[in-house]
Formats: sequence, structure tokens, C-alpha cells
Amino acid sequence: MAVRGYEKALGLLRTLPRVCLYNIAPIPGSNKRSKRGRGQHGGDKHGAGNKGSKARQNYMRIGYETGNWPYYLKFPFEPYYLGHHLKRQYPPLSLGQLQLMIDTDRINPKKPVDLVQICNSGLYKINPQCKHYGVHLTDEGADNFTAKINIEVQWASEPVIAAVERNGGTITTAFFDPPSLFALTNAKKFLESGEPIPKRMIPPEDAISYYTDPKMRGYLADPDQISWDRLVLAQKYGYTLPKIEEDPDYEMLTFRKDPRQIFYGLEPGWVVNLIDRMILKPTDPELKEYYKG
Amino acid sequence: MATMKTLSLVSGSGFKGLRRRLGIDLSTKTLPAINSVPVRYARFKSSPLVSSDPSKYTGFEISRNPEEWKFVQDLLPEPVIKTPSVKPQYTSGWKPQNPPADAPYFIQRTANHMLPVYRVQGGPDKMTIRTKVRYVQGDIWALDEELRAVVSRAYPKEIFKTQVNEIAGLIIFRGDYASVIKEYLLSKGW
Amino acid sequence: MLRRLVIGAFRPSGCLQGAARLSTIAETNTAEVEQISAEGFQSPMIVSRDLEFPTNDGRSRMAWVENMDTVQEKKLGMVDLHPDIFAIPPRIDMIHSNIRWQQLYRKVNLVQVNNRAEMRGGGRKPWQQKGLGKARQGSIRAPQWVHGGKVHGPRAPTTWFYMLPLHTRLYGLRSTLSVKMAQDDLHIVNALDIPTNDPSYLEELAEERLWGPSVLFVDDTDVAPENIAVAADQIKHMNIIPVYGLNVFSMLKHDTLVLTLSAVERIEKQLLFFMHRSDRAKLSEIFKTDQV
Repeated sequence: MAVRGYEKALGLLRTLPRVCLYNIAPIPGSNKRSKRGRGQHGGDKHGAGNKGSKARQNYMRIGYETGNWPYYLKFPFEPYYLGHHLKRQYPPLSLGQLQLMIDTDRINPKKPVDLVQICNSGLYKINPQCKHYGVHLTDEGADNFTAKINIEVQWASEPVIAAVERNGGTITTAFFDPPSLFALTNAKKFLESGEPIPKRMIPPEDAISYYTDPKMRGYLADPDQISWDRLVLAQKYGYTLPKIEEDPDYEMLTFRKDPRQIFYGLEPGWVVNLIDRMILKPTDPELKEYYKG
Repeated sequence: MATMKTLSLVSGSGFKGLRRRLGIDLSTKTLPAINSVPVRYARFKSSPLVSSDPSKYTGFEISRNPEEWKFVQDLLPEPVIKTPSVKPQYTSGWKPQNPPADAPYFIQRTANHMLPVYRVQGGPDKMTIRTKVRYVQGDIWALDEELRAVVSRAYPKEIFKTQVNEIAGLIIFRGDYASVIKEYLLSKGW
Repeated sequence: MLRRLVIGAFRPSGCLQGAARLSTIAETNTAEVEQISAEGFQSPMIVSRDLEFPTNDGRSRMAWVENMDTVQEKKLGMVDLHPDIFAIPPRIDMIHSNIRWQQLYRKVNLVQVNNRAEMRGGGRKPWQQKGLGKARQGSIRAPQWVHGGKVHGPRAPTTWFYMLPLHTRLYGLRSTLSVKMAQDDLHIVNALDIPTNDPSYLEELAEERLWGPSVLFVDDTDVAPENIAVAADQIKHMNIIPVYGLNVFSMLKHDTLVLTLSAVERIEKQLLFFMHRSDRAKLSEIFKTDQV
């Protein structure tokens, strides 16, 4: 076998003196000592020119226009940022990236895939504090997408839905409110906090039409209409819709969350104790009613 | 000039200062017992309960159902990135590493099992794009020659420079040639 | 020079008599190994270890497992070491960054030099503005005056705290271990059990085995065996630390690094875990002092 480069360096060390605290050094030029401003090295007036308010540390505030009404005060608002605090963002995840995650075993396609699984892979960046509301599955790499999965995302378009369904998988678009998102994006941290699992709130007005639309496979849509739309989409895109009823993974592919549920298999209101490996469920009827409805 | 003084983190010097601050009688030779410990309510274990009356707390039942616990375990991430299992086909374009045995160099895959070829933006003008090939062991100069040939075949009219850092196992191309280099390395089995 | 040659003679060449192929060192009964060695087993046993995250690049490292219970060196076995920890490039610049960080991050400058406001006096205008032919002055503690305040002097407390990125720190540890391995300053022992608590035993042992005057013993547990704890306590240049105290500065300060088998296991496990974590992206983010 050829001598590898690391071996060359380590081999050299065998003949050199012992590496000690007094014979190590940084890369030459990596530590630049900042020069004091004295004499010809930026001294005398220190770059402030002659006299004037700037040289005498008597600065006006930023934006001051020596008495004119300043530009930054002339316009009390700008139309372009109207409603910015209400705008939801969905960081994209392409089908190509998803296929890569599945190929490299970062996501398990044998179990339902939702925001929790995507965040747990460590390859998707989302921050609910920045008004990120979930995954937007994009159609880049749709041609090479061959995985059969049950995926739940927050935004998807028609070609993406077609790409998933043509492989015999299922896709659902579901809405999660910000407190639920904090639990979903870092499930481990949430479970360790000992808080009861929150119940999911219904989507805001401008999102209701999307999540009740069977064409977008919304979680609030009528399941019968969704079945019909699957057939319609297959005909539109020209593939034979696989019969998932005959699929051995039928149960997994049709596993869905309740509209109030955020984690698969766990109801809102429950408290998970990771250390003693038990779940605490509330018995108070008022609490139960609150979390159910 | 002004004289230097050292800021003492405890007023007074050392142990005697501490005793003076706590108001301890210095005439006695032993410290009296300190019975009260300042409680900060910052930790669950040191905080008192809201009420000692258990009826003020809502009731709960404990469940140790293994079926439910499976769902909890599914929520916890895999702590470590494992080697991907062998599959008949990888439609994403990813390939497991199958390096040629006779190569004078070795390119180690990253922890995410991807090729260590990166497109980097930087420099004094903040706009220059460079292509970095990392984790190169062995005869890095041979790899440099090969990659230069590959890039000049793909872009015959372009003039580019490379920097070889043998100590760090790095090759940096000035320009954006990441896709060409990745394609070539994948075809070779790296 | 002579030292290296002597040790070179002991370096394994080719395959030795392979005895039991055991899966992990944790399962190896080291007492059994010692007993067999003591009974006069002629050649040491090769004890293979399964390495996590194999590199498949042809690099490999093996090291003798020595004993501590006699002054004379006895080779009890040979173990595999992970090349990503014990055979990586010796980046002197990264080692330097680590040492600089170790020395600076806890540095707090408590020296304070008074500025003109803090100097005693200097509130009154020394003399009238005009008429005296003297320069106009506002305070006797202005910086241009003798015994005046210092303008940009050291202001207490000033911290030099900064965090080196996690992967730089990991690389520093791995690179230093590789350097120690390459320069024959790394020794692996089965356990830190010595027969007496006399410090001269350790000194004789180090002298006999040509270990550097200063030795750093690294064990997996917080509590060292009594004899070695008492003996090493009396020698300033021989120190025992647990695995979690392993740092680049201490490894370079001491000439020889002696690791126990369990310490090697633990170090490898910890470092490899951090190198292959699934949440590497989150760990690589810039360290914020006010993070929640």
C-alpha cells in the first residue's frame, strides 16, 4: 500500500524533537498584532482630519440632517412590510433531499414520516421563532423519487403529491400552531421539559381553505374526496395508482393523526416521564374535555 | 501616573473578610453553625411545593403501556450517524464508497457519508467562489493533477488556479467546479 | 536517539502468536490475562478490539498493553487503536489554538488603572482660563498631567473568555494523541495497580522503561488506586487525571502519556460519538453566552 500523507507527517515526527509547549507555534501571519496609533502608524490626528466636530468627538446622531426633517422620520410606514408579522414561512425540503435522507438511512420509510422525524435526522433547519411553520416539500428531484412513504408535511404542491402517490405512498398536509411546533422541532427537549403535550389549534383563516382542500390532501379534508382526488391526479399525471389496500404496509400508510394530536400515538394532555419510563394521564373530566375538544 | 490596584473579588482580604461580611463574631475561635441556606427557587428539587395539600393538585393516572412507550421512543432521535445499509439501488445518486485499490491517495467521506467537496464563498471581495476538496490522504499532488485534468476537459477555455495544502489534506480550486469534481470522484468510486 | 532505538526493538513486526480473539476489552478478563502472563506464557496475547466507525482507508494502529505491577516491563497483550484518533495529521497550528484557548478562556484581568474621574481630586479648575499666560487646564487629574488619570488603561474585570469551536477542540485532542503515539510517548497499561505506595517505585519504573521524567496517568475513574495515588502525590511531575480531565495542555506538558485500557475505550467512545453525532449542525453553531 502506498504511504498515505498522514503517515508521512507522523513518520517525520518520529525523527523530530518531542512536541512540547515551547516548540509549537501558530501559522505565520495568522495572529496580527494591532498596532498602536503612534507616530507614522496612524498617529497625530488618528484619521480624524483637522478640527471640526468629528475630530472633537462631538458627533451628531445617525440620520440627523442638520435641521431638515430627516429621511428616516419622513415616512412613518412603508407598504412593503405590511402584515409581515402574520406571514407564515415554510423552509423548503426537496424530494431529492428526502430521497437522499432515505437512501442514507437518516429517515426510516417503514414508519410514518412527519416533522419530528425530519428534524430528528439533523439535516433540516427550522426555527419556529422565525415564523417557520413547517416543511414545504418541493418538486426538485421528483423524477428520481422512488420511496414509498407515509409523509406528513405542512405545504405541498400538485406535482409533489403525484410523485409521492405514484410510488404507492401517501402524503398529508397538516397545520401546526407555534406551541406545537416547538414540541415537534425538538421533541427530545420537549419531552424532557415535563410539560403536558399541547393540543393542536385549528389553522388561521387564510390557511383553512388549503387544509380543507382534498386536492392538497389537507388533514381536515373529507377522506372520501381525497380517495377520489388520488384517482383524478393519477389520470392527470399519467400513472397507474397503486392499490394501497393490497399493500402489506397499508396500516402504516394510512396511519393519521387526530386534528388535535401532534405526536403519533400520544394524546394531548399526557405528560411523558422519560426517566421512569411512564406516561401520566389527567383524570380530571374538565381537563380531559379541554384536551379532546 | 495612576497607581494600579487589583480588584479583590471579596471585600477585605480572604477568609477574614468573608467572616466580617457575614457578621460573624471574630472573638470566638469557631464559626457558629449557619442554619439558613439561601434558597433560590431556581431548581425543581430545591423549590417548595405550591401547596402541601395534595387535593390542590389535579389527579393523574400512571400508564406503563409498552405500546404507547414505542411511540415515545420513536420521537427520540438516533444519537449517532450510522453507516447506511446496503441497498440494490440508490435513486438519489448517492453511492457508498468503493475506492480503487491502486489509487496513490485516499479521500475520506464525511461523517454524513457524503463526498468532501464544498462550494465556498469568501475572500476579500466576499464574492469569490472556490471549490474545496477536503480529507485527502496520501499523494495529494497526484489527485490535484487528476482533478485539474478533469476540470480543464470540462471547461477548456477557463483558466483556474489550485492550492494544495498537504498538511491539512486540502485542495482548493478557484472557481465553481464542485459538480464536475463530484461526478468524477463518484465515477471513480470515491 | 538511543531511547527511540531501544523502543524500536520492542515494536511489533508482523503477526505474533494469536491467542483468543475476544470481542471487546470490557469483556476481557485482564486478571486472567495477567495470570496467564505470570504463569510464563512466552509471547503476549493479541487481543483484538472491534472498532466503531471503521475508516476503511488502510490506516491501523496497534499498541502494547503493559503492566504496572513490576518495575520491569511485561507485555500483556496488544490492542487495536482507532486511526481517526491515534493516526490523524499532527496539526501543530490546531494544537497551538487549543493551548492558547485553554490558557486564555479562564483569564480574568483584575488590574484596574483609574481614569480621570476615579482619581482623587481634580474637581476644581486649577487656575483661571485667561490672563496668566499658562495653558488652559480644567483638572489636575487630566491625562496630560503627572499623576493624572490613564485614558485607556486596563479596566477590571476584563475577561478573555472565548470558546473554540467544538470540532477544533476535538481535533486538538485527537491530533495530540496522534503526536504522542507517533513519538512513542504513549503507553497503554492494563490498570494503575502498583505493589507499594513508595514514590521511588514509580521513579524506578519510569527510569527502567525510559519514560520521560514527567508522566501523565489517565484512568477511567475519579478515584485512583490507593498506592499510586499516594506515590504520585509525592512526585510533582507525575500526575493522575480521570478521562474527563484529558486536555491538550496537560498532554504536552507531560513528556509521557500513560492510558489505562478502560481509559482508551472511554476516550475513543466519547471522541467518536462527538465526531459522528446526528445533531452536528446544531453543535457547530457559534457558541453564545446567552443561549437558552
